[in-house]
Parts: sequence; structure tokens; C-alpha cells
Amino acid sequence: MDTFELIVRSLQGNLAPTERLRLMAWRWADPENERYYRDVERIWSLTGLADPAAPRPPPGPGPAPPGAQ
Amino acid sequence: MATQLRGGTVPTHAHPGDRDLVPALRAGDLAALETLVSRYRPSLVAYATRLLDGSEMADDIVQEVFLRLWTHRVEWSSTSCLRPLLFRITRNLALNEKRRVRVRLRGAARILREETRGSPSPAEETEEGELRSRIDAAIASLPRRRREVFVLARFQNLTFAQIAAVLGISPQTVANQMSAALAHLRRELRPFLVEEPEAPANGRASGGGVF
Repeated sequence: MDTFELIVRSLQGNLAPTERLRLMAWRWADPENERYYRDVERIWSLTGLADPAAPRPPPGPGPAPPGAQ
Repeated sequence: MATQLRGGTVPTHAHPGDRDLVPALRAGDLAALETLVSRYRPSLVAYATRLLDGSEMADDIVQEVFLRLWTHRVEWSSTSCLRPLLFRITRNLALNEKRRVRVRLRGAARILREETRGSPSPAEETEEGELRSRIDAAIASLPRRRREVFVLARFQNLTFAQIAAVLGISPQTVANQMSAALAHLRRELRPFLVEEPEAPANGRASGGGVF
């Protein structure tokens, strides 16, 4: 399995411990690798907002969250 | 088929793996089908919903998937891997449905799009609404095959091998498409990828090593 698949599986939460070590070694081998990983991690998180199964805010401004000034 | 597939009760027997369910399914065991429905229906509906751009047809499509699985159960190999098979059937049915709807409603859809574009919903005026719109647009701007690969990995948690089986392509092509999809999204969503301050110098120069 190549590093790229390891990255995706890591974001899916499907890495075995030895695979996690391999990925960490890759991330630490070069700052550019780490930057790439963090960008992809952020993309993964952002695109979670587009999941049709994710809860959507109700239309309209809605009530202020608790504790809001 | 008289069996009500939607929202059925979860069978009380232990949770067998998919591989154990295939022989039971082939033997006509309805409990095996119900187990599969409860196990896969939510993710298949989410997948179909995405393929159909949020259409309410997703439920019907998924019901049809299980109906077909049941009707053709004796034709499935006992070594069939059910997860990619179910996603593949869902994809085929959803794309067929999408084609039918597109032909039927092309004119109406265009008018609706124009009206929607002219009056953004209140939710779109909120920050989160705008962000979601940007993300939706970024995903939508991916080429079709690339988008399919990304959606199956991101929202259905399928492995590269499973995606390859669903789409009938090689795992290496899946990896290539996924890499290109992430590169595209990285460009499109660049403003939201907050650059963190550089870590304390470790003496390494940056460069190379990325895809």
C-alpha cells in the first residue's frame, strides 16, 4: 500500500498501528509532507460539511446559541 | 415482494459478517436480507442522495437495490463481496434515474436554477451556509469520475479496492483519481486551509515528497 492510500485510510480512521507508524515517519520526513497531510486533513474536515447526511442548520437566522452575548 | 424493507426491525440474531450472509441470502433467508438492509441502508441512501443531488428518490432507489439483490440472490456468487456490490447497484440505478429525470425535467430545472440563483436562501447568507456552498461547489466542480471516487472514499468510507470494484476500475486508477481530486480541492478551498505558523526550525529545507 502506498503512502497516499495510507493518508486516506488514516482520515477514514482505518489504520493499523504499524501503518500509523509508517505514516508518521512519512510526515516527519519532510516539512512539505507534513504541510500536505495537514491540508488534506483540513479538506477532509471541511468536506464533511457537504455530507448529505450531516445536519444542516434550519433556514433563517434562528435563535442565538446559549451564552451568546 | 410483500416484505417491507423500509425501516424494518433489526433481526435479533448475532451480527454475522457479510460473507456469512451470502449463503443465507442465496438460501432465501429473509432475516439475512433484513440484516443487510439495517446494515447498509443508511449509507446507501446517503450515497444515492448525493448522486441524485438530494432527490427524495434515494429511498426508492435503495429499496429497489435490495429488491434486486433479493430477486437475483441465486445468481450472486457465494464469494461475492456484498459491500461493493450494493454500492455498484445503487450507483447504476441512481445514474439511470438521474438520466431519466434530466430528460424529463430539463426545461423546468433550468428555470428553477435561474430562480434559485436570483434569490439566495437565508441559510446561504450565513457564514456556514456560504462555506457549505463553496465546499459543495468545489466538489461539484470535480470531473465526474474523480468526484465519484472522492465521494465513495469520503462519505462512504470505502477502501481503494472497494471503490475499484464499485466503479470497475483498477485500484491504481482510484489512487490517481483520488490524488487529483484532493489536489483540485486543495486549490479550490485554499482560502480555508489555514496556514499554521511554522514549527520551530528543525534545520530541514522544505521541498519534494508530495504527490
